[in-house]
Amino acid sequence: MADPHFGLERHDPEGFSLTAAVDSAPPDEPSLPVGEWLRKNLFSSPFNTVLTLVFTVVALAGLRGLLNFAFSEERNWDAVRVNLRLLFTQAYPEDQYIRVWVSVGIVVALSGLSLGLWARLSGVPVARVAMWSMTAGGLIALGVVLREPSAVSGPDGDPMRDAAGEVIRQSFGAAMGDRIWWWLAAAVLFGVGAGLWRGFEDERRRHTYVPTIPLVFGSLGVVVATLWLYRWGHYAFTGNEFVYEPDRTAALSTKLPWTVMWLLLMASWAAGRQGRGTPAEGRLKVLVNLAWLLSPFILFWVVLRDPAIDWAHVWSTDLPMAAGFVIGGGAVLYGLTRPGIGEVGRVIAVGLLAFAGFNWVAAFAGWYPMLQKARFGFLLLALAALLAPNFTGERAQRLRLVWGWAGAMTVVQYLVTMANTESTLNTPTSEFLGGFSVTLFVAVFTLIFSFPLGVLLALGRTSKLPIFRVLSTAYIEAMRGIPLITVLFFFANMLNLFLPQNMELGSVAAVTVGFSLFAAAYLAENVRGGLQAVGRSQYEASDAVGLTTVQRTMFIVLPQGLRVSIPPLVGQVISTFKETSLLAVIGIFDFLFLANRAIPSQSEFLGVKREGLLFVSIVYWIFAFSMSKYSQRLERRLGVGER
Amino acid sequence: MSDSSSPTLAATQSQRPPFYRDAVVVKWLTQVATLLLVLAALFFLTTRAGQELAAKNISTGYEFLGVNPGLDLSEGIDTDPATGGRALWVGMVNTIRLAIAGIMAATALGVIVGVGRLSGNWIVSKLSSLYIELVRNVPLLVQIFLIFAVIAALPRAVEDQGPIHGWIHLSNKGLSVPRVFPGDGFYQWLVFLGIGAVVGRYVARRRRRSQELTGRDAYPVLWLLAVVAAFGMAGWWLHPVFGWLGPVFAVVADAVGAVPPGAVQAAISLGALAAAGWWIKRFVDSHRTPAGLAKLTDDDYFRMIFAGVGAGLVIVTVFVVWPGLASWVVNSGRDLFEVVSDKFGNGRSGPPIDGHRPDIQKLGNFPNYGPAGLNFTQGMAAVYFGVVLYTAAFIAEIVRGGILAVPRGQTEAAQAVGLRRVTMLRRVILPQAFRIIMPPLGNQYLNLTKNTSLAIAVGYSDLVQVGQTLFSQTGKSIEIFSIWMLFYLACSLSISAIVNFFNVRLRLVER
Amino acid sequence: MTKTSILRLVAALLTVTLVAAACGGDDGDDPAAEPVATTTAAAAAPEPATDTVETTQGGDLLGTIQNRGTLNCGVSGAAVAFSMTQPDGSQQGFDADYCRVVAAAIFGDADAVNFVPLTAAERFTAVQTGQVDLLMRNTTWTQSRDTDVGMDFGPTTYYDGQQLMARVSDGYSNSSGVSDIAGAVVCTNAGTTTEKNIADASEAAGVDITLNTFEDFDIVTDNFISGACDIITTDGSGLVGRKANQEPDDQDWVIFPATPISKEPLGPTYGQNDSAFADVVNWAVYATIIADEKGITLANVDAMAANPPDAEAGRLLGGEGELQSVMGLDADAFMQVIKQVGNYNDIYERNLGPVGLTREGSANAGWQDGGLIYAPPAR
Repeated sequence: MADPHFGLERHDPEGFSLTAAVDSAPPDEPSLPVGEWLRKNLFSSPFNTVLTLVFTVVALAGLRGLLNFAFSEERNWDAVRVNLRLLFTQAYPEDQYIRVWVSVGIVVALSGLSLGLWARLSGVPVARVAMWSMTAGGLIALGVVLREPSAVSGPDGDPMRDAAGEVIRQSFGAAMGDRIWWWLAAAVLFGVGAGLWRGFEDERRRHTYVPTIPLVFGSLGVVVATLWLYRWGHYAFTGNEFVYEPDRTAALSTKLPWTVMWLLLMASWAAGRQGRGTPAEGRLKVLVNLAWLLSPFILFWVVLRDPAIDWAHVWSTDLPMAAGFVIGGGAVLYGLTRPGIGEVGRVIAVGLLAFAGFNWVAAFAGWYPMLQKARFGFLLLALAALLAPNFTGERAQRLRLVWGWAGAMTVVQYLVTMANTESTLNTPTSEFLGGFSVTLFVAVFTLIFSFPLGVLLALGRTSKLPIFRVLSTAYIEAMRGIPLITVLFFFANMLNLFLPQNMELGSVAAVTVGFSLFAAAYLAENVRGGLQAVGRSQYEASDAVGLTTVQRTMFIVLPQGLRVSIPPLVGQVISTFKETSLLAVIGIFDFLFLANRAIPSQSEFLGVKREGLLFVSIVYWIFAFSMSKYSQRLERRLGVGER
Repeated sequence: MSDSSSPTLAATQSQRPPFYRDAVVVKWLTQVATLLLVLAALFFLTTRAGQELAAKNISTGYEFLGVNPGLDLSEGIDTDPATGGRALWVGMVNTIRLAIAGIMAATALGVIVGVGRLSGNWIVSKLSSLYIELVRNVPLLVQIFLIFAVIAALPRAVEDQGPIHGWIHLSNKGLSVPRVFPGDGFYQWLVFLGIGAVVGRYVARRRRRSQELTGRDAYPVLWLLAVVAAFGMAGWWLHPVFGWLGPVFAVVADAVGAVPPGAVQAAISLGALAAAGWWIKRFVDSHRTPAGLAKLTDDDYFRMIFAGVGAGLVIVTVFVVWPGLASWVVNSGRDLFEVVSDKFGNGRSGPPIDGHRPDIQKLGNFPNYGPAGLNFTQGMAAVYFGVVLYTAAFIAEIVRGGILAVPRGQTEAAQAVGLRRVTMLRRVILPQAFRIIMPPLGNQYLNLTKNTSLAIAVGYSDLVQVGQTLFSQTGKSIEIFSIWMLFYLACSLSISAIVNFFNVRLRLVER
Repeated sequence: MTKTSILRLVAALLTVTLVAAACGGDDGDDPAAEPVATTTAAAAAPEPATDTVETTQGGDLLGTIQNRGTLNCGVSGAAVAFSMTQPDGSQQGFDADYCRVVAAAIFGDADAVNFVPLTAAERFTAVQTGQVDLLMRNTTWTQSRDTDVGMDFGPTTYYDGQQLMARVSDGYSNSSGVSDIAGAVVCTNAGTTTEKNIADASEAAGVDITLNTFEDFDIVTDNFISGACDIITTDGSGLVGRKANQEPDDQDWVIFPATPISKEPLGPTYGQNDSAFADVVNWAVYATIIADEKGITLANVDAMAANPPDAEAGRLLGGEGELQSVMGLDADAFMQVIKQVGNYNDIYERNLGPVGLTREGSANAGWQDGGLIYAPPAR
């Protein structure tokens, strides 16, 4: 928090201006005195007064109902506390848990780096911070008053009941006395807010900015600090025993990793900031992007699965094959980009494609065996060969393709090898992911798979070639016409009937395929909107400079079209994330299923369901809300959607 | 890509490139190859599934539609269906009911919240925002579960149930309100309304013409409504005069049933040929310029050939692939007219629309909602309020966006010519906002309809729930999936058609 | 040009290649490469190399399982006392233990089980499509499931029957019958035989009821507690567990009628026409029952194996080993079952005892005690 930029005026000499306008709606009006503000916004006319009164009552009643529900004596929040690990990672073995933390750490570090590299130094006006603080304090005070007095607990810890079976409650005064710590928290928050508000006069209050990132890091730091200081309690299930220790701080295995994460976030942010403005900035950004792209695959197949590498097999098969593809493929591509190669190059590329396709025909017919990896290698080589004519020319140009091929092939061979090596994790269920991790897994991989497919479908639908157009349109409309749940039923129950013999998909994998096919149809419509926004002149200009259709699409149309469709694409990501909750209906142990079905059937917490549901909706809300806020920012920054 | 030598224009035209570089050939080759690939993949997958099912000794087929499924549905037009097909039909009706009622409520709530968000009243606008942000960011399924839990926490049903006994009953058994339904003479009355609409349209056109001539407001829409209402009032008592339509429709039904299937086959084939011919003619016409017919490219020839092939496919289908189609068309046509003729008749003299107040019955130990009222059971209420609240949040954002998108200048101009606030909203702002709102609103309606399928999670007997129960009893998964697909596709297409209709109407307003 | 553009190119290529690669994994033309248990989108199991095609076509599920090294066992994952997901993600319960029994018999390792949680609706397709080898998911043995749905059933491990539960305050006692439930809202879970049974029973008794079905029994119980359901019905074992754990202080519940309205024999279920695997499952179950008869328990199995009380026990515990070896199992397969999981009584008492289901006097007592638990002789 000892940031030298704290409290900077709008422009600072170094040139990063605190762009408040990006973050906040333009409330650049002087703040009104309280009385005037009330008159203007709440009681401007008799009708408005009635509205205000009615809705205030509604709001207070709603808050009271929510508090009474959440803190009622009937709630058994232990069910959520003990099952926290189940809810997030289900059966991931405890002795391997470091892998989960490493994964979280990688994501945190990448986020920090990205923030440092990309995020503009924006700020929040002091007026706003003060207002937040005061609102939070006020809400807590309101909640303390509104929540009905707690029940008097009997000798066995259960609430006492009177003759009619009604719960006996404390007197109002006693209840307020018991909630002294809440009063204190409310007072502190309100005091800080009021102090800030009073400490700055109106003009400065609105034009002095608290930098956002230190503010956020600081708040996270406070949360992490409570892990060490506040007695959240320790709840666990070890060796078939339930552990309830409410009077201590969280377990070391909780607070230590989170502290490390917090430090890591700040360190990586600082590193990112250092990289900014240096000559290597461009390359760094590409590297971070690459890391983001690769991270789901690496985290899932390598870090979390912990493959048991069979070195004999690696030396005898995997490495030679990878080397063969990298070197041999590179040589082929180098040859194919020779300037004078002309038609021969195309014929060779088409020949390669035919060979690659034939490999699959042979596989289904069972003519000759071949590693699936090799089949894919040949297909990729054929695709790269088809691209080769775009890289003919001088040596450096040709080498670019070769290096690109080598890099991509190395990564692919590595990952596929890892994916095919058996996992050493010893989990009781067939899927080692479960709970929130399976929710994230399905959401992330759906995004990755549906994106290329959706772009292809959008291109097909906007294509001038009638068969492509008809096929894509039929697919898109059919998928958009049916409910997701039926698609999921199909993929969870019936997909394996349609697959070739000896090929089967686990249920999570099958469902991810279904999700991707479904999401691709929606994504295609979003991308199509973007493509249609690309002006005719762009097409004409690219035709005029003699680009081929492929070149025009790849380098002119898609980059512009995709940029326009970024905000709807983020919206799509949010809805996919929310829709993963449907996994619960088809019996996959996702976040919602565990809360809704698995926990209530544990004999310890039989029928305890509402707590879990409330917890799940809060977590979903936090994720979805922050993503939608991000997409709004993005929309403003890209300037699309402005009229 | 071009050669280094630069040939003359004439030379390029005379000598075509080799076929594998010819753009047209390559284009069509890839397309046809893709099509074949897709067809081959589909063929491969279906044969695989067929083999697999045969190997596992699982019977396939739709016989279960005619067999008693032995299941009770929690609600619907028939809670003890005699056949599997009937059970699915009840599920479809439940889905449609839920969707239509949901669309109406969600639209109303969404508009209110959307306007509320723009309100000058601080607490109204904040509460609207809060509602939108809360509801939009929590998965619908979670919300349905939560609403379900809330309803379950309501008090138990008693014999003098409130809040307004005899009119509205609310308890943990759900909600019961008065029910309005089409009565005995409903269809005869509809004929009256139809005639009223035709006459009203004529009157309205006259009024509009006079409005355009004189410049005075002649209220054409009001007149239209008044005429239709007058016919409706008259028809309320006079509808039995149309009883003679019953026998007439019966005669029509017999006539349709007597059509030989061959004639239908011929008619469909001729229709397909005519459509292809019409399309080709229109296509050629569009290439006709004052200077004569434009040169057709190879692409254009391919398109025409494909139109012809399409017509040929239809003919092959009618005669070879599915010869039963013709008699199916004939039979269903006859059935349709028989059903219609059944709705008319001399004995039908009751009021066209009837209603009942909800009642409470106590058969054994338990007071229950009787069949007279319109009952929302717990599951139905949960999924209904779930989809309504959820969709309304999205509609509110759409409405707000639409209103904000109308340029400020329009408001200022309307104020400048002295329009009153209401007139301004009605004549200037809303028509323009609607044009922006309509397409995304249609999408939300589609989403709502599809989201009703989440009823399965709370046990409301919608199509998906009934289907799933059936398939767990009969194991006919693929068959039931096909029925789901067809039904929802039909729903989507009809909603799209309706929304498109309004879209086109609204677009005509634009100059 | 610059190196940045190379990186960009790599990124672009990677996007395409990763997606392509993720669609398919390796396949095994060399037998060393084991098919991966398929969690990943990528890890599609191998598709046919020429030599493996015929071995897997002949219905040799047992061989496939032995090659794979784990048993895929379909359970509910949310059934009290039968298969519960514990806070550490493990599966506990009667059904889960019988999965372990079969795994112990095949591999000698009770932990070599992949539990696959399944909903009631998807369980049979999961067997048909090969997603699971075996169902231990309180599945009732019925004629249509045995024939039309394409399942085969092993020996019944638990004799259940459908009963109803109501409140004493509504005038019910344990002598009430189906004829007393006129006008009630009866709730049960969807997609199971219970729904059909209560519909038939009420029709037979000539009473009108409103039947509400919910996706799972937690909701059903919730609604019963709150009063939205007047009566709930499911297998007696489920009702007893609910009554023992969820009955609120201010309510008094009763289960009736004394004779269940249906027969619900629950046991292992698998795909039909695969008798090698079926034999293994059936005899693993029988082994637990015979061990119960002979008094061979989890605690004394080692002593018993060293010094068998009679010839049958000796054969069962692998003394001669012929019987197990011809089934394709290890000679001591059933000894491992008892040693690692226990006999029928051990499994029963460990899981069903705590929720209040007693063996004595029920159909689940041994045949010598007047129950139905009976096994053919091991010889």
